[in-house]
Amino acid sequence: MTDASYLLSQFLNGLTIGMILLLIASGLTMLLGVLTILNFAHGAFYMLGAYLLYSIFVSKMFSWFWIALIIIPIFIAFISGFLEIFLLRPLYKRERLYTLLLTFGLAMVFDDLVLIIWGRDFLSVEVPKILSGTISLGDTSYPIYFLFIIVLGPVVSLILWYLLYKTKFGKLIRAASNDVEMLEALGINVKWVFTGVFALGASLSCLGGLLVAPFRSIVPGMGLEIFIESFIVVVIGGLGSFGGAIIGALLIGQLEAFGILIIPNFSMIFMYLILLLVLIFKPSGLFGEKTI
Amino acid sequence: MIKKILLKLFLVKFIFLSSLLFSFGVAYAENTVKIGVLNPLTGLYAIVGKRASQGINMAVDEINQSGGILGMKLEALIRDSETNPDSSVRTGKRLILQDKVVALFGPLHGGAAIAVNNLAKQLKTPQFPWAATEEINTTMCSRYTWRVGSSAQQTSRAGALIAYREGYKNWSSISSDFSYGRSVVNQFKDYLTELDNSSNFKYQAWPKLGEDDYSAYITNIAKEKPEALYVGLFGADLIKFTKQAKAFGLFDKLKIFTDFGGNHIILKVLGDNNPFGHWASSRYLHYYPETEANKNFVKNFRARYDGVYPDMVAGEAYSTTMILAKAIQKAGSADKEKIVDALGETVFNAPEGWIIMRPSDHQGWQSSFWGVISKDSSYDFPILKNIQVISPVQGSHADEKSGQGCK
Repeated sequence: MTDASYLLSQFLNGLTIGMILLLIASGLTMLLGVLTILNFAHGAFYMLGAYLLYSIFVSKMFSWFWIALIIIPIFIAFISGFLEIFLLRPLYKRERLYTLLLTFGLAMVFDDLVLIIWGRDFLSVEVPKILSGTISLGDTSYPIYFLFIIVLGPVVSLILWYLLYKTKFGKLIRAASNDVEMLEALGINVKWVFTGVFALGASLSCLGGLLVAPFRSIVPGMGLEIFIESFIVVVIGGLGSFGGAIIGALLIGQLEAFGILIIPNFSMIFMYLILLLVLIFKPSGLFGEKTI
Repeated sequence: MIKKILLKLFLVKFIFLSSLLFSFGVAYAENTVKIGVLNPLTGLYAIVGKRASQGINMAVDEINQSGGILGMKLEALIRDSETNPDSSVRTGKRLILQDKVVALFGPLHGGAAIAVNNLAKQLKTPQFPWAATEEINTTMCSRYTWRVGSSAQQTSRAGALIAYREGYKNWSSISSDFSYGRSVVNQFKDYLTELDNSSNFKYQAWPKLGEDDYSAYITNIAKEKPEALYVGLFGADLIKFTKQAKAFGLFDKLKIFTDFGGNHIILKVLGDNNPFGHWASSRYLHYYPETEANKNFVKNFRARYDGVYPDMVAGEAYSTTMILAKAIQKAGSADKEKIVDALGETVFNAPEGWIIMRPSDHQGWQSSFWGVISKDSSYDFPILKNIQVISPVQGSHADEKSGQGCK
């Protein structure tokens, strides 16, 4: 393999990882910015996205993947909105610790719930036929499905950007992120903004899980690792900053791809080193204004 | 006055009779021999815990149906290890001190297995960990540590023999960076180098246990262009890696030898994503050898568990239970020390073939199986064909080199 195609391959690997992190981190950062809660159950929605894709996959319906891509995030949006209204809303007036504990408990409940609903066997989903196979990159080959994810990332980001900056709902989200009390004073029913943001975050997270299911494993507890990584991305990028989440995710993605070249056995160090540097020199994150 | 004496007599008789009955009751309950089992019943490896429990329960019922051991009933108390050293130790302690089990089976994972190993030594109870890592019968070994299931050493050294016969010299490896993962690859590399000192390992990948994304490692392996790749990953990690390697077209570029890849659970879940034509191993195969013992075992297992085929874990858990039962029979008593004394050289004609508990390193001596992943019309999942059986004589270190720690 020439150096050029090698570097390109690793760069694309980093982008793929980055795009998935971006989906989950953008949801998490919005939750932190608007609701100021750290949602431990965020990884659970990622996990549910993967499991639900499996269910649709085994139904063998025509265009299963594309149908799943649309209906699973919508389904999770409803479920998560439901959970927010009945479980989280009552706790907002209390200390933040309560919501933290609740979301943590929810995460554990989901881990056992998937075992009950889907059983203990290892599950597998295929890459959709149209996206399977490789294309040649110089003298090496690269999976088409990974390129699909790399393309989907910016598309989703653009949709989100449009939502945040060109719609009324987006304006409400940004305002709530800035100053909730003022928003309430202006007569807006902030409760529904919260529900909307929670549902949006959850559906983004489940989209991430859905996209990785064909090439990763579908197991209980799969949400924890990605939750920790996205949280680091969010802290580096800045709590509540959408742009920060994008930059952070892309950065961490590249670190994971190239890190193993520099320090093969301890590549995770890079991510934590950057986190440390950010916390010391710019605790509100690269693009953020708040701290927890 | 007479009434008082009669009343006292009646009371005495009552107390005497009830204590007699009570002691009978206690003695009756003591006619069971209990095994404590620490399996991952929840979490990532719930499927492994389930299969192990099924193997054990089947063995226990078979033993009880043929009269039990030394006239006593056998009972397995299966508890969730939660894949966590702390809860494993706590539960293990309760099983030994409260439930009075004569032995502990499991846990599966290295960290928990080591923690429970220390507990077992302290409380002088024989332990049969499921973990295949080398430490168990070398540095960590003690009088109470026994392992029936194949060790990483046996399957990897067998793999090295196959690799040598097939003539591959330029290698890469990928395995999880922890005790078991390192054991699997090191044993392979060391033995292959011994057999053929022109073999070399240019790039060795050590992703962390539980890594989700292997694309960077796959790209590195492809860059080095080795002839063959030794894969020491297992469980969910192996599934992720295989799918990603297939997506990158890695199977067409080199030959892959996967230690854990022949396990039925893996072959079944990967389906068409399996590396057909490549080598893999399994510690137990439900279709080989085609002995009566194996065929009956598979038939009974499937009848009992809804048509599910016994995989590697179920097969080994079954054998472990049987070996313990034999040792208790040999010892003539359910006393833990006597059982431990009787374990060495205990022999069992397992469904997979003979297993002999080697006294020097407390490891079950048994054959290793490697084969080529292939489709088969009689099954709706892939199996191994062209099966090579490597005897434990070749697969294990010579007696003099092992077992330093098992006193």
